[in-house]
Parts: sequence; C-alpha cells; structure tokens
Amino acid sequence: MSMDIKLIKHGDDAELKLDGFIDASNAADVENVLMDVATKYDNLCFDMENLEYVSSAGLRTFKRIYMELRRKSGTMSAKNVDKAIMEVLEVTGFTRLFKFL
Amino acid sequence: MKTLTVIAAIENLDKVNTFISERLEECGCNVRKTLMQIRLAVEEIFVNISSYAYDPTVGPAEVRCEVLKDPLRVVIQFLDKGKPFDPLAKEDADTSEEALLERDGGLGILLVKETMDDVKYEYKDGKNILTIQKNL
Repeated sequence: MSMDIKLIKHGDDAELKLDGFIDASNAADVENVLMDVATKYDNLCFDMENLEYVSSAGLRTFKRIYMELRRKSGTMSAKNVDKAIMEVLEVTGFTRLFKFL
Repeated sequence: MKTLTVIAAIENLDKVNTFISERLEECGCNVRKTLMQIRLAVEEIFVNISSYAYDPTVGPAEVRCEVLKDPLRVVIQFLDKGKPFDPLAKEDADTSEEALLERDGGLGILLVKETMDDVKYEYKDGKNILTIQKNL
C-alpha cells in the first residue's frame, strides 16, 4: 500500500516509523493498521522522518487515531517532522493534535 | 498544453499524479517542497471532483498542464461536466480543535489555497474549470 510501518514497543507506549506516503488511495488501509495499534497502546509516537507526503485524507486518519487515544487519555506525538509536512499540519490546525518531540 | 482525460475516480489518482510529474520532470523542477505542494493541490482537487461532481454517478475529468516561462511556473486546469460548484466560494475551514474533530471536510481546498500562488474558478460551457498556478 505504498507505506511501510514499523512498530517499536516501549511498554504501554508504541513508536511507529512511517516509511512512504498517505494519500486518498491508501488512507483507509493505513488507518486500519494504525487503528489496530492505537487500540492496544495508550500513547503513540509517529516517527515521520521517512513520511514523504500526506494529504487531507491522511490527516483524517491521524484525527481518528487521535480520537481513539484521547478516549483513553493517551497522547499522540510526532518526531522528525520535515518542514514541508509541518506546514501541512500548521495550515490545517493539526499541530494541535500532536505533541512534538 | 498537454491534456489527460480520465474517469473522475480515486483509482485514477495515480494516473493524474504521473501525468503531472512527467510535465514537471520535463522542465527540470526538482525542489522537493514545491513538488509536494503541487502533488497535494492536484490530489485535493481531483479527489473533490471524484467524490462530488457526478455523485451518485460517475463522469470524466480533464486535466491540462502547461509549464510557462518568465517567471517559470506551472498552470494546471481541472475540467468536469458535473454539478456547478465553486470550491472557492465557501469560507475557509475552521481549524480550531473542536471544529477539526467534528468535521471532515474543507481542509483540502484550504491546503490548495495556502500552497498555490493562484487559484481561479469559472463555470463555462457546462463545465467547472478550476485553474491553479504555482511558481517553480
């Protein structure tokens, strides 16, 4: 699905390394994988170093993950966010949903 | 101006992306951020047409792309024969946290407006025509 996801466990927390892109054609598949992880861990951190592209379809995926984590008072964080992706998060207000590490 | 006509459906997003990136490669544009912003605007517009223009049926979308000089810029046009719809007429999406969590729509066109240097809409000869321009 043009996206490789690697899971690193830290107790109740998980780190997910995203390698590839999230657009309208793969967002539903990516969401299924991420949601499965979000239901099992309290806090998720996305390593976005190799996330080359995200569109509004991908942002909706992050939003649903955020809502699942918030339901159980967990947090969603992000690290290694590149400038172009950060601008997409800023313009849409999505910086509010992430803690940046 | 080169033209691609496809059925407006998300399965064809790849074809549209390839068509645009070939035009940009021809002119040697390789700035990552600019290429990403163009891909973003193209996806958001094509997905909107695919989701709403002919709903509940399907129909064609025509994509035209041209690279112009002085200043170097790309002009991309999207034409569809669906319901008349001006995506620029709506107020910008509310990006407060509560609004973000309640609603799904509006972010795509906001990203188009924020990342492109010019965006125009017209309805002419039974077609929606959305034209975006980005300096390269």
